[in-house]
Amino acid sequence: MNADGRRPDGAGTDDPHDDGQGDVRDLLGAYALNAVDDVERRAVERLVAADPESARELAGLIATAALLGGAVAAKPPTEVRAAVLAQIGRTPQVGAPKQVRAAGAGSSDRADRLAPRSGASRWTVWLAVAATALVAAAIPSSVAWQQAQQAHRAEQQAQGIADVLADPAARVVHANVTGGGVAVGVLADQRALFTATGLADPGAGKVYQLWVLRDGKPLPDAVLPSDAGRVRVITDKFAAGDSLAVTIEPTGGSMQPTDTPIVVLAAA
Amino acid sequence: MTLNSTCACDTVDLGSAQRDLPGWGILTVVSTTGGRGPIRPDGDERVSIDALLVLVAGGANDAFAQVYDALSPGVFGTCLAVLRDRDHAAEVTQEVMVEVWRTAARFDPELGSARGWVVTLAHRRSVDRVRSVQAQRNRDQRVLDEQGERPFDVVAEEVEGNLDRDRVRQCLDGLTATQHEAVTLAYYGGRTYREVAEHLSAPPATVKSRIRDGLIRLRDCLEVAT
Repeated sequence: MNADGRRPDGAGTDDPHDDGQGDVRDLLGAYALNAVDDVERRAVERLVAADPESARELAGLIATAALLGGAVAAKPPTEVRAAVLAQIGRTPQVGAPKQVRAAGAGSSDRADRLAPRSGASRWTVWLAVAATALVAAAIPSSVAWQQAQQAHRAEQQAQGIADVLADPAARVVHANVTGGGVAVGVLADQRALFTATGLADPGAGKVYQLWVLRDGKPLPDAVLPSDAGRVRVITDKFAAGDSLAVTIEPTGGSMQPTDTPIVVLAAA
Repeated sequence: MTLNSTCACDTVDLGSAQRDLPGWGILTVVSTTGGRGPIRPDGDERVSIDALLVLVAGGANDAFAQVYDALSPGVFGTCLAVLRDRDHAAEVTQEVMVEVWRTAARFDPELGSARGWVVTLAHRRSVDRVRSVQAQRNRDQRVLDEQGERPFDVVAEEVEGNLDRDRVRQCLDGLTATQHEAVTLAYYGGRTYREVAEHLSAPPATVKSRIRDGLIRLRDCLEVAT
């Protein structure tokens, strides 16, 4: 929902199409079917930004409309698959919405995503760097060096993910996270990829920390920088038969868990 | 324990972990997917595709190929229904699937399914295209060529065993004739409700209400969570 965040005061009153035939809420169905014009679309977006009940109704109607699309599923021509897979190889991914909004268009967008950052969004930067290959020339050499380092790490990380996914022993496991969010793990014989999304803020002075559970003992692993509720990490400590767990720990992490895990992922 | 062994377990017993670490006894229920090899979604399909898309957000090309295989029929079918042209539909399908790759990090499983997100994107893109002047002209000609055909019937090569299709057909049959007409003309025809009203020679406000009432009834029949 691309609500534009403006106040809802004008909803229904400054709409040139509102000719007394009904309020904006009547448009929710047509909006869900993309059957409104731009003026009406903005009116609906103002409404749902201000009215949670309308927002809930709209979400349900959009999900319903999507089922109308799913009902006419048809196999695309095979050449589309090859074209898409080739195209994603040269298409950089964007980060979570917050960063995208902060980033401008064109070169400033690129500079923003390539700029060295600490902690939270480093993963995004790595991945963006990996996807955009190497960096343009007109950059001070010290920055270029940092970026080269990042690009190198990015390649390693991207390769790491590819390796985990390609591992014939890999198993995908997932679980809901206590307190909100979904965790997904890819568990291979010698390493594991842990990702989660929708995590709540761990709170001031707290961090998420990953643990490898081996023979019932938690081995401390990485502190997880949360990027808008998302975390991703590859651990080499993992071995066949281990499980992964996440706890909330004081900043800096702990050697022994100080709390119960909010999620545990195990293969079998 | 081999990681390749088939596992139908929904809960995980951590054995000694529970004994050795007081307070670690209350564990989250863990369900696993796969069991037939690497990253093969089965069972709870919705969660698996959603999970794969979370991996895609992490730059996983391998996962994306599987997301493509699972979701592209819904995308292509939606585009085809609205655009009535395989070449246009193939082009938009490609655009949409690359967009899914590009913006995977914006997908939030808590807000809805990956399938819903992607089909919504496909419909929006198709409608944008159909409303561009050129496409409109082409389509008008095709609509003339195909007069009388119902939206469902124009779609060739439907995916077999499409459970959604059967459910949706059933629930569409539960709408009043006028609701059914308004909803399908708008969604599959890519028309605004005003265009639908014009097409039916009905007042726009009436059509607007029919669409909303019809969709609400469809939502309840399809048991879409709200």
